[in-house]
Amino acid sequence: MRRRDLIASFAIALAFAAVGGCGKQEGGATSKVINVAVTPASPPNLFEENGQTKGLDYDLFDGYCKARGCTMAITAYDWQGMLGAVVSKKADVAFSGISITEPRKKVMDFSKPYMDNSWNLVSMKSRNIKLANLDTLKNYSIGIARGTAYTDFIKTELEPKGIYKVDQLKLYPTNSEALTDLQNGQVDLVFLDGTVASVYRKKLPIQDSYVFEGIDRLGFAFPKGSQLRVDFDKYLDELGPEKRQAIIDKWMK
Amino acid sequence: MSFIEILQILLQGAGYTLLITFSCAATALVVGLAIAMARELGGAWISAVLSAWVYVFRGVPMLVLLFVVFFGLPGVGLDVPPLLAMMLSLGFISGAYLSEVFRGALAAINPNEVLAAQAMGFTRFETLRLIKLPQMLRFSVPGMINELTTVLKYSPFAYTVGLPEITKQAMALVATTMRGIEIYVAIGLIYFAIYRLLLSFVRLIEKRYAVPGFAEE
Repeated sequence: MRRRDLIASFAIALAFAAVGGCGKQEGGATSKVINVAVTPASPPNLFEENGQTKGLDYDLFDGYCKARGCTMAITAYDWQGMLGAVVSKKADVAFSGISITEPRKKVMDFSKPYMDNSWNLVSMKSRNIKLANLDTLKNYSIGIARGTAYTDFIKTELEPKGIYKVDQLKLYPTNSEALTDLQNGQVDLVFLDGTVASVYRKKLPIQDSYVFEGIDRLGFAFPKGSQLRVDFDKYLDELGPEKRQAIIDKWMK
Repeated sequence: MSFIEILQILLQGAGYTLLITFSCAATALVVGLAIAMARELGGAWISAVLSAWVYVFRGVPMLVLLFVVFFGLPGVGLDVPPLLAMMLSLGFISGAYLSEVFRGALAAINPNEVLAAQAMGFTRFETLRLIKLPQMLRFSVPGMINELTTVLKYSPFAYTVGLPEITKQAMALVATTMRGIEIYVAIGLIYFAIYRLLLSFVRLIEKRYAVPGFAEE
């Protein structure tokens, strides 16, 4: 889900190259109001409830702002707009469970990874599909949201080993449609981010059939050359792994 | 959460959707009229430039233009606020379409009337203002309604530049409640209501300026 926009971010980068791409230097930690770009459709990292912006990422950055005496001016964008806002320096920081990827690193700076994200193949509890290994994976149909990094992963990691073919995938506009089809029994498994799966497990009778670990890490995104990023990394060090894990556990459990 | 509550939350974005639709439609009308009139009054050179303009703006995808205007222009020192970015992208694209609607309407005007006006000694501008424009506007009402509806349905692009309109409310709500079908049905009803509102508004104007016997079969 979080990488559906590789093409979009590439398009932004192109747009920038086309118009000259020079920009003003933002104030970093010295400016008291920090322009924040979010996508409030990424629970538990970032979402809205009764008009309030909440979530794991929000708590982490709120902690930073409390420590440094700054305030957040939050603007909600869709996913492409959020990344575009950071690249164009309209926003000083973006967070909504953004995966750190190579193409993105070319146009923006990332903080240190603040959490690991697994990729989960989920199924309906009633089907009770449990995969001890990937040998039998090809017997099942897999649904994924279009444009996500999973396609790339299957093409480069699974297809050469004969585990699964990209042609076998069923593509959907977003996770919501894939999960609806899962409930309707039209597809056996759906690929979800670990964070997303943790939220949907509470709402739907689904379970993990297989979990890919250690592939994906999340970071806060900053414009290129951001001083704020340096200070935020410092804050993450000050916070320490225990306190950070406590915030993550609060939202993931 | 009941269906009524869903509607209430979604309606929080309705003000922005209306604002975006009206400001972009107004921009489109101004741009479309300006192009149509300049084509009528200007020479071959202006006409060629405007044709190229229309060609580009009808061809460029909305999202691409919006990205260039909103995220690209700051790169050359022009900071464009979100609503203005929408007017400059959606408004201009829609204006290009409208100018073609107007061109079609102008072609439908009886050439003998124009000839008669010229014989009476009307200047080109007078002919346009008194003979062509009043008929053109009436001929183009169905096309304008089409274009206005398209503007309404393109308004969710505003979420890309951070305007919290209806679709943003819906996406945020779906993400936390997982009740996509109800929420998208609700959003459909709201868009339909706005469309009906626009339609009644245009019909009212159409009626107000109707000429008995004109453009009726």
